[in-house]
Amino acid sequence: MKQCHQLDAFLNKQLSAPELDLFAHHLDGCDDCQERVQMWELIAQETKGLAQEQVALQTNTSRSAEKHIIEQVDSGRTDHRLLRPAIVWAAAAIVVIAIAAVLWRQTDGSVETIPQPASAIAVNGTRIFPGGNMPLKPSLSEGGAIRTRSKEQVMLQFGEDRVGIGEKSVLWLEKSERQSRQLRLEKGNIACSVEKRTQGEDFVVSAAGFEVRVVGTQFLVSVDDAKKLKVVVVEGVVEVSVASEVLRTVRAGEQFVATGTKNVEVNAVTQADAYEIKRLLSIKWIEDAVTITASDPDEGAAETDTLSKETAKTKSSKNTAALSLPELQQWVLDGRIDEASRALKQHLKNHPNNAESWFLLADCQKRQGEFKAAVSSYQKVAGKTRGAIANTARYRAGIVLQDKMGNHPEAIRLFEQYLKNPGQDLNLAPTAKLRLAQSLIRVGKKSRANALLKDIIDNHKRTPAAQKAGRLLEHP
Amino acid sequence: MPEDKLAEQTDTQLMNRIASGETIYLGELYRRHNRKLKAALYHWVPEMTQEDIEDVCQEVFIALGKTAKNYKDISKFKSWLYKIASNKALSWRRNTAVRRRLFKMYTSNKNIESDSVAASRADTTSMRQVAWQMLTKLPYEQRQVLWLHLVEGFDGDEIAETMGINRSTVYSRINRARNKLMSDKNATLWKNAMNKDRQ
Repeated sequence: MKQCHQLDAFLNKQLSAPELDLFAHHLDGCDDCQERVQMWELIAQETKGLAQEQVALQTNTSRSAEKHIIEQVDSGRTDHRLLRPAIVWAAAAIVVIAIAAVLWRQTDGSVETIPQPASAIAVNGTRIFPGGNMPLKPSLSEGGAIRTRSKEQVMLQFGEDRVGIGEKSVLWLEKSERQSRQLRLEKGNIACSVEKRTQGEDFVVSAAGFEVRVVGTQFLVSVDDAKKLKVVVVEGVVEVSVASEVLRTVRAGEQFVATGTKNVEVNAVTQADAYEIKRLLSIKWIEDAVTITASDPDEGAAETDTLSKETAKTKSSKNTAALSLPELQQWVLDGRIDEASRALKQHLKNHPNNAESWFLLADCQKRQGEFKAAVSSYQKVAGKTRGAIANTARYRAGIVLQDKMGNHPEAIRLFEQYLKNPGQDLNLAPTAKLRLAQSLIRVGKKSRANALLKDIIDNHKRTPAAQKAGRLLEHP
Repeated sequence: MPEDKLAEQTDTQLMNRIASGETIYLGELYRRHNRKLKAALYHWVPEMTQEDIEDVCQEVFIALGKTAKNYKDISKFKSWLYKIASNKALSWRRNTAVRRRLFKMYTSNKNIESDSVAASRADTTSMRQVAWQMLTKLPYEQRQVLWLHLVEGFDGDEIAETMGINRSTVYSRINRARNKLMSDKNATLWKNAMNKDRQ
């Protein structure tokens, strides 16, 4: 379709009077522009119409919402008045403490340092804020360790210092203070980017009996299963020492390889190692987070990411009201279905409109063999929410009805509802069509089922559903 | 104040009263604007449940009451209201990022955000359904700007003030949204829906 360059400005009402005259003249003779203007008017009209619809919205006509708002505003005002002197006193106290700390430091010089947990942890490019919005509040503090699985990298950040941990590595955080940060690499490889250290400040990585002391640099430390240590430096200088005795200073562009203290080599950095450092230090930070399971590396847990001792398992099931949905999801994934189901039922007594909890409960009920209850729970999800979540719930209810209860007419209704909209999840759509066709065959509507199977074969080529549809067409 | 006199008061006059401590008038502002605001939230963030919309809407009016002293007559009341709503919607999205992502992972449904054609719209016209479908497929920022432009009738400057962005950014978002809505593929969908409605 031909685009006239001033059409957008015309529709945005950005044209000046003379430009408008010229464009109006152009519009008279340009069918494409006319068509687009008409179409845009139609779209605008329909979008405005959306606002008039009160789809699925229960407008709270009672006075309770108004009352709540007014109470909140009033209480907020009162609180501020009461809090103001408290805030002033708290600020004054902080200033006094800060001054005292500075004076003490100047007179004594030996200030007790406070252990600092890693300020941020990223797993596979996903940033996790300890103590932030994360349900499990992961943190890596002194004495803790991180174990990575295959195809998994973890990025630790301590202020400006960053440590990228490669696949299948175990790294312990031995000491984490402002003046002295000590890491111990049990196996695997890490790349560090360390800000320049002033005198009295340390950044030490110990591995395979050696100590790698950093002055401010970018480097890689790796230990293989035979305890062979490799230190690759791309920027700055590091010192490798054994029992506090400096063995070798490794400079930028050099790599230090050692198996025991006698078998030591220093070579030039290979391109592959330089790339590895770049790769490990380029784990991207994004503002979302995934849940991670906390456990101890000594237990050899395969899925370990960070190792704070706080786990979902340590919480007793009596305390279910305080459990978050992700924790319950973890229970389900761990196979603690009965407990999760009980907790969800309890939770739903107080929060009957929480669609996500209903969804999880439905999954539990399905796994417990309570199929009728599962279908009812899925339908509750479909009733309480909308969009893809509701659709997925319908799809899952359809599966239970088809596979477990043999209720094909109802399954057909749900699958049809699921497939009604053209913008469905492309991964599930062919499977849903296939399931619909299977149920249609069961209720004797073979011609419709055949048409559907042909549609799957034509429109979803090379999918497992298309292969199954082909087989079903040949041997119904 | 008697009901009839209350109805004569403009939004700005009510805001001035709220600023001077008469928070009772927040109720009137809520009655006037809550439906439209909820509709806006519903279309800006289709992932919100009814409870979420109600909560965020109440948070907006609570913030409105708390910031009434900062409200100046120089800006339109609606711009002020939607500015707060936009911030609240954004923080809702941020705060529920974990929840939404986990839910997505758990349901193994990758298209939750983009694929939100509600089955509850089955009784509306095909055109309306297509409008909803197209709108929810737009990126969040474009959807929000387009809504303010088309539904609330805000011009570029008002949207820029509401969203805290440049006027040129506003128009580029509107133009991008328009190009997406009127792409060849979508144009066919619109035409089909129009024909279906005519039948």
